[in-house]
Amino acid sequence: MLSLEEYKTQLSQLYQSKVFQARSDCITFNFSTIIFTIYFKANNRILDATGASVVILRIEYSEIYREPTLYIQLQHEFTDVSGLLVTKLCIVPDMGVILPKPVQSIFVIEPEQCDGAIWWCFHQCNTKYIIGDNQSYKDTYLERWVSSYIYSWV
Amino acid sequence: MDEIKRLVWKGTLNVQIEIDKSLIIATDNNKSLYVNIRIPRETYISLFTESILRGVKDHLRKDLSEIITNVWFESDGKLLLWNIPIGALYDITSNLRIESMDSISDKDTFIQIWKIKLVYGKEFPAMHIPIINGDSQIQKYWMHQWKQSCFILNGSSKRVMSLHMNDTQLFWNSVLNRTPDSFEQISSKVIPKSPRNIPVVLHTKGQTDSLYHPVVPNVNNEGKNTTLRRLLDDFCDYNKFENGTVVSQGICLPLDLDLHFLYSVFFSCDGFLHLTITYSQDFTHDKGC
Repeated sequence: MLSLEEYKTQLSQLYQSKVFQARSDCITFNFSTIIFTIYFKANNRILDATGASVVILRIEYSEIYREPTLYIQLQHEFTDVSGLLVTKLCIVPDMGVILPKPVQSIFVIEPEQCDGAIWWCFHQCNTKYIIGDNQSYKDTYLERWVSSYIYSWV
Repeated sequence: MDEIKRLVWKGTLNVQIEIDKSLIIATDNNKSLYVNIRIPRETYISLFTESILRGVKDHLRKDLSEIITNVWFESDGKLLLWNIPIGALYDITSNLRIESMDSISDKDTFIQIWKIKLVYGKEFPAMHIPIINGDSQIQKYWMHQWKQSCFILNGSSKRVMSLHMNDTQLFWNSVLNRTPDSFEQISSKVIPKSPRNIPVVLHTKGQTDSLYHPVVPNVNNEGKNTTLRRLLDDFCDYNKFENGTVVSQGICLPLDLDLHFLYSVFFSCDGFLHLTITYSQDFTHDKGC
């Protein structure tokens, strides 16, 4: 668990570290004090499983769980009748297919409303058991969260 | 208290559903097609989609299986979020409220009917959660709502996550089959006598796509139980609220009520207390309550 202030500090550090922005598959990103959104090119596993070519990650803070929260959207790109490249939300029956098999049972991913759109949320009820809630490691909580919730599959 | 809970559980709505014309086989008179159904307030409207469409299947252009994943419900052109219990949706959208039984001229024949539309389309409205796995998806969503409300009540979701599988299924079946005893029995395993926080969802009258989950302590820093008025002070624009109303389960609530008491009698099938706020500027159009 993190307080909102701790989360803001660690999210800012994450942004400044450029770990996502420096990746070759990063398309673009947006950052505010509490939300960090990153657009990635889908890797082959995700492309094969869903047809999506773009993965959008949105890191937010849940005031209920007092935890970082990962929302994702998959989009596929296509050329419309006017010749423009457009993207469309990709809806798959089980979002778990985007994860490698060994981590599929760890995360529960379900669609929900967020900021006026549908995003798929990695549920937060077992976050502290996945990340570990030891006070002495609190300063690296978000770093470890990113390692489990994002690097395990992106 | 048990009597109030029983009445809440038994609450129903008369709903008239107009079927999207694009789904219906064209006829000479081009008449609209309606399904009339009575739906318990404490359930999700999408659990009824299949039975609604089955009721008109002889008039449909396509097979039910081709349609069912691409439909949603609207009221006056506004999307109804299926993941909110239908009673709360009604409180958010409907102006059909009566001041008292005395205001009804013909008490024997007065029936309130909520008119909504079943809409078909290939592109979903932005806030509609697509239902592609049928009722099992609705059950999963509902279970996550309970995990969340359990976390708010207890500071952990353990009480829900450690429910026996049979209990979990019995719990869901109690919502489907309207069995209050099972619902009461299992929800009491999740809801403590003295909760840390109260699971509340705030809705704004007329705004079907606006919902807010505030974190509301049962007992505040001064050791006092949180009242509805305190909740409004903390989370709403009180200047706009003057002369406004708060409704839950179709009932206008006195603002001095203890929120924990309110939760214990009015909580919904998803473990949350749904409150609909009518601000003063809306009140001039909707005095009935």
